[in-house]
Parts: sequence; C-alpha cells; structure tokens
Amino acid sequence: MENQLYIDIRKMSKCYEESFYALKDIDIHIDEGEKVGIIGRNGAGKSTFLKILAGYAEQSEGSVDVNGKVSAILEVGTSIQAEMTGRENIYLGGELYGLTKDKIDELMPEIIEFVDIGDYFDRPVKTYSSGMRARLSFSLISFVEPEILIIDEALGVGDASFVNKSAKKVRDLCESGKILLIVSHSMRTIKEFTERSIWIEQGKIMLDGPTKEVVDAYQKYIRKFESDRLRQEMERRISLNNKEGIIKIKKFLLMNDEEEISIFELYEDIHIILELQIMSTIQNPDICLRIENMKGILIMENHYSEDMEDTLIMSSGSEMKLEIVIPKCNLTEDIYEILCTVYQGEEIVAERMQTFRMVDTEQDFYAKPLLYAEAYWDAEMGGKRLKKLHHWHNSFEINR
Amino acid sequence: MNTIEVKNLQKSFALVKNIKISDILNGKVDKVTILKELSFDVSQGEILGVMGKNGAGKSTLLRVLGGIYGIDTGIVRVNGDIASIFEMGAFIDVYQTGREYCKEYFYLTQTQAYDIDKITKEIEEFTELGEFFDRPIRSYSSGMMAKLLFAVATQMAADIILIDEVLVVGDEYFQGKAWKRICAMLDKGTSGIIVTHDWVSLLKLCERAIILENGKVGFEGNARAAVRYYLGMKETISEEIFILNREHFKEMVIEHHLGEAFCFDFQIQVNVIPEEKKLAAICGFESFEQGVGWNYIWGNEVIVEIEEAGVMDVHIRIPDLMLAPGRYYMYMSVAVPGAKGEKSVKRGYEELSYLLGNAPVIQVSGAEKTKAIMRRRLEWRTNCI
Repeated sequence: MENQLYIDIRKMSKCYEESFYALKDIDIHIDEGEKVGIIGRNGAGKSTFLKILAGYAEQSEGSVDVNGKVSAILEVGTSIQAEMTGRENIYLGGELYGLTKDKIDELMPEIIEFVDIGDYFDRPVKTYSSGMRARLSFSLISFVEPEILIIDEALGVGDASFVNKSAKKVRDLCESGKILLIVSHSMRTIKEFTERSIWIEQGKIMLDGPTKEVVDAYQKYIRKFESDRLRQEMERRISLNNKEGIIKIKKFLLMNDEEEISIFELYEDIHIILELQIMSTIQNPDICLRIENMKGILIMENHYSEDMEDTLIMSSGSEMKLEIVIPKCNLTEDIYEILCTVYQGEEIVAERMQTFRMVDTEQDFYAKPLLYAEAYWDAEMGGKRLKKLHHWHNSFEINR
Repeated sequence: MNTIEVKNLQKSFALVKNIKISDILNGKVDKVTILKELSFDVSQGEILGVMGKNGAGKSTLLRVLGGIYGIDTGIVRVNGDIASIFEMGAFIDVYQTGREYCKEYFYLTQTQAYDIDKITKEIEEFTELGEFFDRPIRSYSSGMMAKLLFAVATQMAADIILIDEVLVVGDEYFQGKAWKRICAMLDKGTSGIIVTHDWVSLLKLCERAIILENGKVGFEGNARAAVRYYLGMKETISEEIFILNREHFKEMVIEHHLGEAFCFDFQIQVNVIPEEKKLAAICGFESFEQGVGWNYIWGNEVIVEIEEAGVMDVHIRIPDLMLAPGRYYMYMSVAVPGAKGEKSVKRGYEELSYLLGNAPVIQVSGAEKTKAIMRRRLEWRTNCI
C-alpha cells in the first residue's frame, strides 16, 4: 500500500480548567487530495483546532493521527526564533522542512525579495515590527513544498502591497499542496479554494460536507443569529423620552414583503410598521424616521408632515397603525439604526429604535460608498455603441 | 499649548545576541536606530494620523509616547493622562478572567471600589463576551482579547489617546460601537495619535497626518495630501489611455437641481487597446465636510468591450439622484477591470478624485431641510382605529 497522506481525528477534545471545552468530540477524516475549509464564528475553536493539528498544542482527549509533513501558516508565528536573524530563521525553518542548505541558498534571493525588509533581514527577529515578523513567518513556509498545508487567514493587517503578494503566493501554494486546510471568514475565499467544508460552532462540528452546502447553512445561521441579536440589542435601549401618560409606541418593527426581519438585501423594499396608542390628544403631531449607519452618519430623515399632504390627527383614546415603505432600498452593506420619534410640536413625546442590516454581494473598488445609485450608462466610439460586458448595480439600457 | 511635543527624538534598541559584559562596559554594543531626529507636535483637541510602511517605527513611537520605552536623546513632552489602545499583551496575566482583569486594572488606577463594580458591568456589556467574561483570558480568541483591551482602555475619559490599528478588531457591530466611542472621545476634545493603514478612517478622523519613513517624518501635511503621498498617488498621465480635458475638469463647477435627472459626460482617449480588450469606466460622488470627514457617497461602473483605438464617449444618467443638497466631487476613473475573483481594478489608467484635487465640483441645490444624505419622499399609509 502506498504511503498516502491523511489526517485522522477521533473523539478529540481540548479543555481548559476541567470545565471549559474549547473543542469537544471532534471526529474528522481527511484524505490525500482533499481541500477543506474550516469556518465558524469568532471563538468557535477553529484556531485551537489548527494549532493542535499543526502540533503547537496538545489535545486533552482523543486521538490525532497525522500522516504527512505539516506546513502551517498560522496567526502566531511560533516557529520563529526571536534571537536569531531573519536569514538564520530561514535556514533553520528550511532545515526543519527537510530542505538542504544548498536548496535554501538557491531559493534565498527569491525569499529576500518576497520578505522585503531590507537590512533587517540580517538583524535579530526581536528587533522586527509585528508586520515584519508576519512577513518573515509567511515566507518561511511558502517556499517549501507542502504536503499538508494549513492556512489560518488571520494573518494580520499589513500594507496593501504585501497583502497582494501573499494572496498570490497562497493561491500558488493551494495548487501544489496535497492536503489543504484553510480557515477564513471570507466565504468567497472558502468557495474558491475548497470542495469540502467543516463548520465548527462552540467547539463542536455543526456540519461537514460539500462546501456550497455548508457555507449556505452557515450564512443562513449567521443571519438569523445576528437578526436575533440586533433585536435583543434594540429591546435593551429604552428611550428616556417616552412620555408614558400621553402616547405609547406599541409596535415598531421592520418587514420585508413577507415577514418580520432585520436583514435586507440590496434593492429590497423595507416595510416599517408602527403602532401607536394615544392616551391624550396630541397637538400638532408629527412622526419622524431617521436612519444612521454605524459610523454615525445620518443617512435618512423623513417627516410625515413633509412627505404627506394631509395632517396627522392623534386624538385621545385612539390607536394608529402606520406602514411606511422604503422602496428598493439602496443602502450599502452595513448595520443601521432606525429611530422613530413622535412629536407634539417641537417636543418629543415618544421614541423607539430598531437596528437592521443591509447585505449586498457586489465588490467595491475605490472605497465602499454609502449609497447605490441606479445609473444608465452609454459608451460610444466613432458613433458606434460599445458592447457592455457588465453593469454594476442594476443599470439598464437607455431607451432611445 | 501643545498636548504632545516631540523634538529630535531618537530611539534605538540594542542587539544583544551573545553579548558580553565587557562589550557593554566598552560601549561596543550594536544598535539599531528605529526613530531618528523625529520632530512633530499635536495640538490640543487634534488627532494626528500616522502612516508608514511596516518597520517605519510607528508602533515604537506609540510606545515611547505611552511611556513603555525610554529614549536615547531628544525631547518628548506629553501633557495629560494617556489612554493607550494598542496591544498590551505583555502585561496581561492570562490566567485571570476578563472580569478579574477589569477589576485589577481599575484598582491599579485607584478608582473607587463602588465605581469599579459599575465600570466592570459596563465593560461586560460593551465587550459582549458573554460567558467568556468569566473565563480565563487564556481561552480567548485574539479577537476577544482585543475587544476586552479596547473596552478597558477606552472606558474612562482621557486627555490623550494613542491608537494602534485597533479599529479592525471584532465584527462589524463591535467595530461600529468602537468607532462611536472613539468619536465621542474626540468630541470631548481628546487629543491623540492614530496609527493606521486604513486611510479611509484616517480621512474621517484626522485633519493632519504624518508619514514615517525610516524613523523620520517623511511627509507632513493635511490628511488628504498625506494619504495621496502614502498611496503613491500621482496624477498619472498615461499616454496610452487617458481622460480628455482633465485641466478643464479641475476648474469645473456643475450645478444640479434635485428633482432633475443627473447627466454627466466625459471622453476617454484610447491610443493603445488593452490586451484584455475591456475597459471599465467608473463614476461617483465624494464629499468632504468639516467634522464629518471624507465620504464616498455613491459609485457606479460600466465595463465595455474595446476593439479599436479612438475617442470613447461615456455618458452616465441617474434619473433619481436622491441626495442632500451640498457640495460634491465627481470621481472619475478609467481602468482595466480584474477577472472574476481577482481585485476589481487590474490596471488603473487615470483617476480624477477629491484626493488628487483634480475632480470637478458638483453643487447640488434643493430645499435644505435636514442633514441626511439620502433624500427620498416616502409613502406613509395610515389607518386609524
């Protein structure tokens, strides 16, 4: 039988202080040739899992059987010796991966160019900035032919040029590795590089299967989770401006065309539902809706009195139901707060807040804009209309 | 009076591999000088942006200002209480729980006991760590630890804040909270320094910025100019593909009335056909307001097939520009788009933008009712019972 690469994990658990399980009863088998994504929320146990696989940490229970040389690009560059220079670390690291000194000498010019830290290459790593350390750590493994390659995408913030260089390197590596494990928060990355995915939540495996299936389930879960969390957050904010005896906001919630929800897709209609109970007559009533984004920028402010021709009447003992629609909402991906304020003249008599999230899947180029604008483009050359390959954000043909 | 004063600061680190006592006594110690003749000031109420490539000395500077490192020579004056918002991993006892860390931190700052309980509760809520707040920090993910450190460091008001690339921590919701907290501190007149690669945030928070290069100030100026310098943005004049009449655009002020359709035309000279046979034209509005900073309001792109050289006429029409009245800058650029899965811009040719200072101004007029960016008339349906 050929010596096949594999990873075999049985009933593996990792616990701290006898009671907290970072990982519980993990059963995974990965064969040679597989490219597997590991996804999950922050703190779910993914990094711990990778550390154990890479040999930087030990499991508390169960077995971890890894057949093959593991090359790991992890958040913590634990294989680097701080007292040695960058160059010395490359030799050391290369040797550990089974490269001969001659081979390393051959690769050295390329490595030096990739790391791009100038004189520091021959200074001890402890004099390096965190960014330099990350670059060195990354280059250490990327010039080795990996058998089992583990990448934890949390490689840290860096300047744009290095991020681009390393992205290309990662791509190349993924082509050549025989078993690939990649942890990422970007579903786009996971879908691009892997065929199978494992979703870890609170230390346990939620789902293990074809990437598309697992990613879809994960995203659905995340959206529901955030939707609930946003709603809970809203419930905690009780406005101090509510004048209890005069008016009460019985209901203030958001819906799409079908149901109550806090997550909307680009260009969906947002239905705002408001129910008021009026105990004593309000003079000169008005209602205002304001939307702010997470950076505190006021995106929208609408008053009933400005949008509608008729005047509001809020008389004692009455109930009022309102539905306000924001058609084809063109806000970009972000979390927003919507505030509803009821006025008596200039005075605030009631206030409620909701949070919601906008989701869109388009890529950005320059910077993320605040809004989308439906645009109609036309491009001509020598009087001839040029063929459009792509519109961004629902542009349409100009009617001529 | 300046809140932070730095004059001719020099900071080196000794390289102590295999060092002998005799070497130290003889002064034969190899050193690497990270900061050299560094001079700059931060005035009261100002947040100075600091950018620079990896290794330029940014983190060292913050730590010198925060009192963690001593200096070789020079003058460093910091007038006020400091809140440091950067990795303090070295000082954390990872066997403590989040709650214990909190209590000890505020105990050490001599906060009153009754306040400590209240503060700890606020921090517990802010960090959203849930059960983890009572678990050892050792079991935290890096994101959790950063959230805890941020919450603790920003809990109390400070005269001066030193921020090191911390706004990227946590999920979007937490980032929003963190941003708001920092803005609230700024509103109260806190001064400080923010080190970041995120030029978008820098443009919103800072009026002035410096770029560190090899331990010195390589550039100092208003934030916009500094970002341009940092991004290596020059007004590229490519001979192959460029926007016609760019000088004309620089001076242009276009009037637009809300309610009318917004139309804009420009021309692109294509002298050399890109080998990818496609070209992207991008338009958008940028704005810059005192106190709010820089914003990219909307953007839109079209990609066309290019098979011949010549002059390309580009026309964009937005039937319903639902924006607030005010002053905007028309962003225009021409580029070869990336393939699917790659960066969206593969090769840029020319750009007219607020940052470059060469974008035409669009003056949007209409009824000035609110400060909201988006203007739409909504349909309010009521039924009274």
